[in-house]
Amino acid sequence: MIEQAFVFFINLSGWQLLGYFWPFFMIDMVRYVLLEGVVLLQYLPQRKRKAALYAAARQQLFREKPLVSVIVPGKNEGRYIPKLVQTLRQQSYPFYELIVVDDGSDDATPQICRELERNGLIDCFIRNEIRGGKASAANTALQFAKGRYIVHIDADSYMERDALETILLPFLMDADVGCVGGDVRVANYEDSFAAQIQRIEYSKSIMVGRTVASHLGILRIVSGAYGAFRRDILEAIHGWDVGPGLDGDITLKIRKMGFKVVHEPASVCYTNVPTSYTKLAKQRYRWDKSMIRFRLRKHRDILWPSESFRSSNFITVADNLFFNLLLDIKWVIYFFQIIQLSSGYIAFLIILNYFFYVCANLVQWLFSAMMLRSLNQKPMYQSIMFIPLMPIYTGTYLRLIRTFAYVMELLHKRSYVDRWNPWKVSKIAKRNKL
Amino acid sequence: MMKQPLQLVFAQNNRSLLQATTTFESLDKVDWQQVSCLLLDATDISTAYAALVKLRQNSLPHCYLRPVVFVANTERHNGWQWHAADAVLVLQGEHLLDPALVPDNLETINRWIDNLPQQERGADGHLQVKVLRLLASRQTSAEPQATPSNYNGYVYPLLQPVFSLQDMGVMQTLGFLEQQNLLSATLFDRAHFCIHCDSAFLNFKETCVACGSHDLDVVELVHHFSCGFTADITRFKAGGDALICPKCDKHLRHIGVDYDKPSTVNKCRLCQHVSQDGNVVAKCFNCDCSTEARFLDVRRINSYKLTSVGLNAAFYGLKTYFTDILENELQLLSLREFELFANAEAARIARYGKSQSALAVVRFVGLDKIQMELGSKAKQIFTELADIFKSILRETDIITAYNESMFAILMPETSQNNAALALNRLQKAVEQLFSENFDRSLDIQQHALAVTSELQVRDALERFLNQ
Repeated sequence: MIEQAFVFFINLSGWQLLGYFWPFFMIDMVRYVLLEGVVLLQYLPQRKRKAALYAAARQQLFREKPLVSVIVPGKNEGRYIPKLVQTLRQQSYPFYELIVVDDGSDDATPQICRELERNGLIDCFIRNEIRGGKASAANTALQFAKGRYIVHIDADSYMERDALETILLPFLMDADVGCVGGDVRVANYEDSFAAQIQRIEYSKSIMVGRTVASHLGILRIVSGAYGAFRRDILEAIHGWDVGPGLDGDITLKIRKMGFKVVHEPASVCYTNVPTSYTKLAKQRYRWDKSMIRFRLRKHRDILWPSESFRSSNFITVADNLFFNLLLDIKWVIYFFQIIQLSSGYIAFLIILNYFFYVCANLVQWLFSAMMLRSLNQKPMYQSIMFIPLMPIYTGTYLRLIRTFAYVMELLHKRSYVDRWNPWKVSKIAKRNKL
Repeated sequence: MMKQPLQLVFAQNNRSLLQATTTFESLDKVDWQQVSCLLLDATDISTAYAALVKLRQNSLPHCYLRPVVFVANTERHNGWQWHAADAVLVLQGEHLLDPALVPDNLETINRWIDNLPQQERGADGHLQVKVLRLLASRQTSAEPQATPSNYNGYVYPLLQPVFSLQDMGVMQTLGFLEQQNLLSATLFDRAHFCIHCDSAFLNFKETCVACGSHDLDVVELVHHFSCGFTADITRFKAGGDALICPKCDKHLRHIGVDYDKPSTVNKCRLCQHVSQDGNVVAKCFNCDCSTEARFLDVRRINSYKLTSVGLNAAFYGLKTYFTDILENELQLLSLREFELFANAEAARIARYGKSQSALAVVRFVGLDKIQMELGSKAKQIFTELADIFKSILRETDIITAYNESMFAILMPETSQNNAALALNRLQKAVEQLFSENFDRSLDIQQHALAVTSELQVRDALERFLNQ
């Protein structure tokens, strides 16, 4: 069958190839392979040329020694805090304060954090007896932060030794930078097969994808797991709005203020990802709903001409909506096309599509390896064996979740009943159409 | 039938009601069998209490166990001292006291005293035995009472007068008796005590964990559901009393509906440090020392009831005491008998003027604590101590116990210097005993004085005790 599919492929003309495999050759390959490849070819040498600028920024950083407030909002995540505290103590940039906000945990989080606070390992621990949601917890921390920069990090994450130092450099290199996204990688990839797959996904979409978007000036999200902000900007916008998806929301708000949003791949943070496909599905369902809620509803004004219109912001949201929401339909169209026009070759088309996407994933993996080498980090060689499974993961599993999330959010606004937020908050958010 | 109450005057105002001629110094001459109770003029409660202390610290069970009634001229009885007496009578009219008002149940105390075995009726300086007997004779338990007048914060009114400043505290004694299974304890309260001075008067205050300052602001946080903004409540009060969200300018109307208060935090005014877990420090009113709350001494304040063993001990005494052992080994005399011998010797010397005799006083500081620590094993040490006494003293020497740790020795035909030498030998022998056998020392206070016609043994012992 595979041999027949290969014969089928080599007998196709150029137009036939496009006709049969247009979703891959005209959309995905162009957007995620060619475009990213070209940008990376420009970015990587340019980054090397900027080494002197980075060095100057580093010198300035250690000369000025601005205080950094590391804020960690979370619920029932006390067991992860000691590891985070430990990696913070090993940071090459030691001028930070650690503020942990417990959002109504019902486990041992308060006891763990109080002990760490007593031992001087947490500078400020605040326990909110009543759960208010992630935004409320982050805003509580912001209220008491004294640093010039705010680093928001998830409790179940920890940092590379130079992470704090490197995430601050973009602020010093460009005064217009409002927030910087750190490179989030998978900490617990050895725990399960699902985590292994996510490790590859994170390297593709965060390390490569966000670096490229940042270079193009269209980065739309600074991950809630690890990102740095200027405190004056956060105070000007009064912190985070109600989520889920508050990280993408605040990034767009900062963009709308006219500040740049950049990704710093050299600043690495490791986070724990869901280890089962059920938990992963729930997480992605939440994330995908927020895309509709925030980009299509709350920040749709970015798409309309106005005084504050910026083309980069327009492209940021349009890129997201086009490739994620609109092109989600392309598979329905493609499916009907195959059934109607090419039903005799269905098997060949599936095999060849799978082959093309494996190749595309392989190329993307090579991009990530190139980036890691250029950042003097060790490429994830052993993850290459999971590449052949990526089309099933991204093309089927994640796509199904995404499609379901879009439908549920568009028709039923399910993000307002997500238990990620307390019910009292979701109810008000829905009533006020936030 | 009521016996005639003995009325004693210890207060200086000498009211006509209290006309008895018996004075405090002549208590030992009283025929206690005829005394139903002692009435103390409690016009001034502190004077009355001081008199009660003297009574309770007497060594004769007939005296210290005798029911004591405060006679008050007012219905208002503030202060724990009022509860130290067995009853309080209120004077009816200017000088009238109706004997029928004296409670009948005081007679049960007298019956208990009368039933004491004959050998137990002699002078008794044992604090522990006194405590047991006071409880047993009154068929009551030792109930603590909170009070601001005692730096411990609690007193046991009935037992407090038994103890002088020199003695081990009431709580320690009761604790010891509990350890010996003579008393059983029931939790009454838990209290924090200063580790420096044992005072219970502590000012607890939260201090900044960063700088130790107690100048803290308690800040209430407000969470506005609609926009997620969370901040200090003062930031929502820009509009006066109404709460207005500084982020979205909306009025916050109903707590729980559109906003809540998730927590409060302490903000240091000095260093601006924010924390919810303030360091709780206790500053002692007595010694002015500050101690972190977690280092304070937390003790159980118990009420104590006599056990059956304790009841037995109250009746028959404790046989492991040093004075008991000395009594067996050295024929310990009662204080009264000792005074008679001392007076006779003083008269003899005054008459013939040919010889001199000495009164030696020795006090073992903390002997009661040794007993507490060692329990029944203390008997071995006390036997050793008694042997030292035996080896130092001559057959003509006479010894008495003022209390369980203070002893007086009458040394006939002995100069003051020679008596001092004998006491030094005694001290060295005791020190050697403790240094060779125990990992601790025993403080000894000693004094020798010449026996003269002016000598008043009891006064001399009292002065020595209060030095």
